[in-house]
Amino acid sequence: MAETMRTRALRVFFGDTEAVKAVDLEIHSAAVTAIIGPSGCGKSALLRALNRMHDGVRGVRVVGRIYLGDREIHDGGMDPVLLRTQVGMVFQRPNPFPAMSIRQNVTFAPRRHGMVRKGEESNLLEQVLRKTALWDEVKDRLHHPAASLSSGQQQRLCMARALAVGPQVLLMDEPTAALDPTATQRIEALIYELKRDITIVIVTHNMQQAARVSDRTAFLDDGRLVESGETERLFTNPAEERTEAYITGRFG
Amino acid sequence: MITLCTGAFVMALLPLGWLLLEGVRVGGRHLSWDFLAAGAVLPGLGSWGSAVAGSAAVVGIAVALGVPLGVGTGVYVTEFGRGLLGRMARVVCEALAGLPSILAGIAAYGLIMTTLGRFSVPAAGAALTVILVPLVALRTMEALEAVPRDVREAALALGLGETTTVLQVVMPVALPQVVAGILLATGRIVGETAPLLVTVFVVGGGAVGPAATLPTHIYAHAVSPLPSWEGEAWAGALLLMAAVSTLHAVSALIRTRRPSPRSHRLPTGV
Repeated sequence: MAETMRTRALRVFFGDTEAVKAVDLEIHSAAVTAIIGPSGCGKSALLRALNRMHDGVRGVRVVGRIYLGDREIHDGGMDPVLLRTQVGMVFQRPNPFPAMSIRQNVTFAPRRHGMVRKGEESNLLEQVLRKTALWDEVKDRLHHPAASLSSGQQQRLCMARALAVGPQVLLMDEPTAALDPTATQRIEALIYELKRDITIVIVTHNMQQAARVSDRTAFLDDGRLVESGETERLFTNPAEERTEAYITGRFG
Repeated sequence: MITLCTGAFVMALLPLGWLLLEGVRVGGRHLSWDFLAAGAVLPGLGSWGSAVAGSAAVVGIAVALGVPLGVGTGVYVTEFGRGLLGRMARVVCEALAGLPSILAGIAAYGLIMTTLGRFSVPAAGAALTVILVPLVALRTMEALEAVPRDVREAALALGLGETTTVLQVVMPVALPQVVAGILLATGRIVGETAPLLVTVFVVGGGAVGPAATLPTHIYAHAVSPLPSWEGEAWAGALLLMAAVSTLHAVSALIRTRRPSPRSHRLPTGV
């Protein structure tokens, strides 16, 4: 089910400020692509363009082309609402639906989309909670409020919730920034498992994390894509001086 | 500084304390079932019981009309009104919330009473609706705005539409605050007197005719020179204070309700 993504001359404007500048990025299928760069370099802005999260936000303008497989995502035929079921997102801070139980958090969207029949909900629930290694921890309290979970569990619930609508691509915006090291480790292990079936793009300001979890890395600076390629190559033998300066900690 | 603040607090509390003490001291003696049921001393002036019923009817109309309108306006302005209309609606709500209540009464007088030709419960209900709608709308806006942006984004990122997101994801989170706001706003209109003076005034009657309400009944008794009437006015005031305090207490209870132990959020961990 994994799918490739490409951007061509992608620009994102916040008012008059150009946060993302003519980026051509290749995202390989069934692999993890990390987007790294100093704070404010436009990595989140780029990520959020990939499932049209900028739509309807006042003052934000997206220019350029983005392809999911060979379909352009701004095309008339592509419904932004449907796009987001194919390109899911996990956020920096765990954000389960506060008024819903663990179970409802996962099943609400698939049910609304008519993706699952009533009798099959429990199967789907168990399947995605197993995928996110949460099943054994919560199987006896599925009706409890999602807020009763620890923040690490909440983030894994958010991943399960995103997986429940069957996306081909999962975007992760600094998914461990609000978590402690143990919880971070569990999320990273999950990313490693999930990439067999799904394309993952992860924004991180943590270079060790990028090196640990990703197959490919893109380095963004001041809105420009400075360099991208195999993670190992980029970290050991960067082609650009700017990349080397960043990964050796000389700025950022 | 602390002394000044404490002083100001006591000053602010003083009238309230005096009202309560005086209400209990003077009015308490008059309060009884007989007091509510007994007919009026003057013909045409209803009993205190009918005043309570009249207030319930007038406030009931206002709540039935004003809550859906106010909540609807609040939801529209916060969630959908991105254009000029939405921004204008907010400014209008803020202005209306500060509207002198007599003006609401005069509006109802001009629009409804001149049509019906007499003092009436529906006209009074309409006047209180005008006061209730902006208050409920503002409370709804505050409650919805307090729901973190994260929650909306999570829903949108799952491919859920805007309407589903607002009504089924955001609204349930804001609901306790909205209900608390509605109770506070209701507490405010229960005691409104000025708009009632020009719409129902004091004389009891049928469902659509003039009626006694608690505030106007208190007014009629308080301005009387008879000492026993003054006592009854205090008793009525005590009833009114009890009603408003109950609404406020329930509202405060909802707002500060602690989450149940199992929904306790652990600070960190796996």
